[in-house]
Amino acid sequence: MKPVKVGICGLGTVGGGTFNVLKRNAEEIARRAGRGIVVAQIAARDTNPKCDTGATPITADVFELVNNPEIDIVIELIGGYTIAKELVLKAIENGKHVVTANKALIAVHGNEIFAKAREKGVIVAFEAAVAGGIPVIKAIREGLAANRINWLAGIINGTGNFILTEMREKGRAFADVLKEAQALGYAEADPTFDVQGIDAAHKLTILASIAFGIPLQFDKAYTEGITQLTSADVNYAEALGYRIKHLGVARRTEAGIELRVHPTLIPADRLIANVNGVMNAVMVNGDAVGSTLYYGAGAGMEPTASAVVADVIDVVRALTTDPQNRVPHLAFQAELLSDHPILPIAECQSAS
Amino acid sequence: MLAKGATILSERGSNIESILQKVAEEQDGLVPMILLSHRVREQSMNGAIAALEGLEGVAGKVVRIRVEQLN
Repeated sequence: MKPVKVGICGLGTVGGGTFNVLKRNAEEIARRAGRGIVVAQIAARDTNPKCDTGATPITADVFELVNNPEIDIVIELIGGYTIAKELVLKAIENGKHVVTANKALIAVHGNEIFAKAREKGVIVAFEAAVAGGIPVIKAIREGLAANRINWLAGIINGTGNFILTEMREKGRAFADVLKEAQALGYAEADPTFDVQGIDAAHKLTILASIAFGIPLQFDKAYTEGITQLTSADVNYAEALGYRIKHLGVARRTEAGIELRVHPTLIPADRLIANVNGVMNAVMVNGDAVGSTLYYGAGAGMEPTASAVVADVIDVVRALTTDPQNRVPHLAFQAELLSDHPILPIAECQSAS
Repeated sequence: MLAKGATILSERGSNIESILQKVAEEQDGLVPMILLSHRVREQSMNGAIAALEGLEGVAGKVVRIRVEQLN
């Protein structure tokens, strides 16, 4: 079969990683996918010193790539809500499949994007949007498809977890570790999204939708950051036999679905309480399978690329399948999404 | 103080799982008190926290951090 042509929008950390993995593992990937995958074009404003793009054509105009008739799959790796949304919708309109790592875009605009994708019969895949390289989206969407999911809980922001780990292991203050995280590139110059839990809430929203079969409702997620935590808090937790983690929790109850991100004490002997540094982990509890745990790198050039390329391979395999019979975007048949409400935080049940 | 704290929580449907009182960390006549509660509707806990803060023997705000057993 002829190779499939893909276009990469964005040559930053993830874009560069995606190109490198596709190139380095081309043979392995072709053995799995059944055909070759070729990067026909890249849209980027700058070059990436960690990525040698060789003779691949590069344009500064993402829309030139999105309108390129040769390209079957558009890989959106520029991030943000505005241009990314426009380019994704245009790609869909042009009948192209989309692979993205953009959790903010999916959490906030996913319902609209999936509706358009359904109309056009194209796939929109977003494994890399949640927990980097860990294939948690696929695990819940397909691996656990037989279950009624009861709850899931995740350490899904590496920046916050790095800070909390340093606070506990070295007794340092929050502000002090944050400065170091920024210097190491683990936190943005504006770290608000990370330390206030917004990034985690984006990801949790997506996980909850595919776990419970509800529309994406990011605006209803409760977020509480880690900025108020002190060494005293960390020490008291330790004294009581707990560790403090920034946890995203989604739980199904009769009254509704809890969707909350906040600092949480977890018993020190739980595996997830021992996930440290920038690593991520998600626990998912299903009625048939019980508790499962997914652990790995939540970010980084090649871990995230691993998830992006896996999605590309999935799309390649599905290219010749009937659009009516593919895996639905939010794991559940779109016309069968539930209207079980998201509970406001005051109605949630918690210990503290 | 411990007894008052326990009463306030149980009036709102929660029970205390454990208590730590750090007498060794006394400062200006105050000792930190740490309460671990059982699972309860957050609305009720909010009321309990407000009541605790209003107690005469209590200085400062209550720091509330949620607990999940994940079992």
